[in-house]
Amino acid sequence: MKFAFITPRYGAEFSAGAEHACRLLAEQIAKRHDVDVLTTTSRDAATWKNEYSEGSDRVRGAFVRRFAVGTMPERSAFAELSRRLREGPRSRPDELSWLRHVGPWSSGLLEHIKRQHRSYDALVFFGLWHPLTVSGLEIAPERSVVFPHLHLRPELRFDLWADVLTIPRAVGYFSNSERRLVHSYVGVAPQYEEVIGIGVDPPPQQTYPRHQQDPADVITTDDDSATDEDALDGSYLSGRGVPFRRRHRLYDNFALYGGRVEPHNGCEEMLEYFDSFAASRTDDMGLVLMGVKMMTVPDAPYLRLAGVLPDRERMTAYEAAAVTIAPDADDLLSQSLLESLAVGTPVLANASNEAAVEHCRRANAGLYYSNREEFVGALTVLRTPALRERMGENGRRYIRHHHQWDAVIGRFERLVGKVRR
Amino acid sequence: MPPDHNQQHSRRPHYHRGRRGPDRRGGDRRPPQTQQQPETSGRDQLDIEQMMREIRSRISERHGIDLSPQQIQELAARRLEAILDPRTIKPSLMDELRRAAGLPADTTPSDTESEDTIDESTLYQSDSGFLRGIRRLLNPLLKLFFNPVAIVNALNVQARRAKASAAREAEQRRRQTEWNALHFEILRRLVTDIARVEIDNEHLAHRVESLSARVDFNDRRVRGLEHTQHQSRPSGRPPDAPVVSSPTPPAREEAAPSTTEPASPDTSSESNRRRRRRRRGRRSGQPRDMSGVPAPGLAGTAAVDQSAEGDEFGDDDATSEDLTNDMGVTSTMADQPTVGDFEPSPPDPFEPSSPSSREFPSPRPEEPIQVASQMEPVAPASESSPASAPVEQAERPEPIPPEQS
Repeated sequence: MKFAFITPRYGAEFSAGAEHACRLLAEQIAKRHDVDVLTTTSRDAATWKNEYSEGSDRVRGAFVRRFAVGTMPERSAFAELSRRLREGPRSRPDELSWLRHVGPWSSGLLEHIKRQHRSYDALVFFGLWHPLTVSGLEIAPERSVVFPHLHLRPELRFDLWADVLTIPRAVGYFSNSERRLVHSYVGVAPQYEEVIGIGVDPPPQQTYPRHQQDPADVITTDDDSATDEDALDGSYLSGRGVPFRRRHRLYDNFALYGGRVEPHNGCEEMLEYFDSFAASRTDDMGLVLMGVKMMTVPDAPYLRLAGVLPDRERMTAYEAAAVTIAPDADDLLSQSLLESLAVGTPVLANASNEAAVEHCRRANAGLYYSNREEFVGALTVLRTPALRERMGENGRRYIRHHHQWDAVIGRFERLVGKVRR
Repeated sequence: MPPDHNQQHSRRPHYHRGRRGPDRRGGDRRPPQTQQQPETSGRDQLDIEQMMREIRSRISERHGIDLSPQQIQELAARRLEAILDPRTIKPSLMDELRRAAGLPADTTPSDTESEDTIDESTLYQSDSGFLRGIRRLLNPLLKLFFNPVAIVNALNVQARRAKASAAREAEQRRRQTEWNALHFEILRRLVTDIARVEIDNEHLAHRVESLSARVDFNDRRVRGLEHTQHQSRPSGRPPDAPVVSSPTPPAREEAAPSTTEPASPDTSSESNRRRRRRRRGRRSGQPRDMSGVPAPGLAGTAAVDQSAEGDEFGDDDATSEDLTNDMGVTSTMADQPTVGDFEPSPPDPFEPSSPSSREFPSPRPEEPIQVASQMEPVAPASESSPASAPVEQAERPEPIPPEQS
């Protein structure tokens, strides 16, 4: 099959949002099908300046066609327009005007879809909040699928979205909470819909450490751990993620945060709550921040930064952690949470993030917090090794059954199959 | 069929062969039913929501009465039940409204609205012809006793009024149906908006909680900075004054840095070795905080920054001077990403023309710039090889940097 993935931005540097989800799906689906990613030459979502070169490219296995962005409306009026539409009555032209301000607009991309849409089995649009989706869905609605990637925002009250979401043949979601939002908030029940999510490939079992002086550090295969109860004892658990612990000299239990360390994704809140937790405890449970640091972190003895790590080492870090904290309230994909569950580490998620809470509940492998007391209480509960072990097993099973890439691609193909019919 | 444990043992790494204890007995003595567990056996033992309820109940015990959103909703539902008294409210009202909203108004006239008018002959009508003849014969006699025309007129007036009344009733029914449809639509929209408001409200409650935590966080940061400035101003210590810090920082409870305690010879040599290693990758420049004053209180942050650039955590024993030097990097770029944070991944040889591998965006805090998974691994200063692991185990007692503030 041949698919066109339409997204306003595409690149390896985007680590969040619909663009990131598009890239994750495109890279995996390109292994089985032909995928053309149709995108713009922009990189900055605020200005939509043309920064990439126009033309074709191949990024991690996916064929990418970039089209130039047209001139954008004056940005200064955007805030005022948004405020007026949020607070007062609005009409459809107002909403469309707001959409043009959001951008980007690429007539070349839309022209390409108009000319070539018959050569694709499905047009898959990512993100609802931009004119490429709203205009592109009207070109071939019978072959269109949209992944709206919705968050609860004031602009979701616009009547425009209800009409846009009824255009495509099918709607895919990244979480059940997104689906609930479409049904209860936007008030649309699409003809075909499916929660696709994203996948995580559990890391290959590593026989580290590579010396044999300490058999307690050995990580066995899944089969062995399932059949050999004797191996699943405390020494086994304490040996998880040994390379990461040794490299960073972490000898006690620690909580791990993986992602950009910035104030807007709940990190400040997490640091503040963890400070309360550390003040209430006498044991040395540390907090390790893994990822790009974009804010000043406090000077606290329990706090470490691991920097940016490659994929394999990142999974080892998740494995080494006692618990992974997912503080982002808007992370619909919850990639770090899923990766943590994949290696059997329980998670502590922000209750504002319904997708993360849903993963915790469905997997029975994590707790969630909505305030400081709950954070401290949940982290205190998660200090119990036996509980962590059981949660970790649940998490691994959940990922194995629902979020391996094979399962995700199967769901995607099922959704697209409805479109093709 | 029981699993073949010998095969499993043959797959295991060689260092398992010498294990002592229960493993030595061999696989045939182990219970064979451990492999095929029921799918939900592990999940049944855990109930996340129950655990969260217990955590919340514990919190509420500490804080007094604190109703959860679910309890509030239950209370609201009970109140609504009290308002919607079944003795006064028809239970099927909503269903009727829903039905009526979709149907056109029933305005067909009733059977009484006939177009027949009553005249004098109507008074003497009969199915029997004989009877009709008798009545016609006796009609003049009847007119002697009373005037039937008045009766006919009265009946006609009555019929007209009945007809008008039926028309009014039909019109009223039509209007009522329209009103019902309107009420139902308003009710539906109201319920939808209430649902939206509830979702918004919950979202805003989380947001308020998050913002209050961020306010606390920033308050602490401000206090720390003010405290640091307050300490550094009157001291007037020259920047190159020798400062010796404790090479083995104590635990968090005793985290006050002892700046005068001399280091032991072993640890100082180890410290010097590490200091040399750190200095190789450090930037030059006079350390200053945001006000231009050296701020040793941010030293821990500086150490953390270095670790974010790929340095090891083990540089905890760096002296205050080192950390103060590093602080310049942190304070001047407090909210900006450090260079090491945005170190681009090497170009992929299989993607020669990939823009993402050619160039990287300028770091902007409000925009995703670099995904952790795609970035180049930050090479630590000294990677722990398996052979050196026992040596590093011996270095265990100094993991935590001292609290400098």
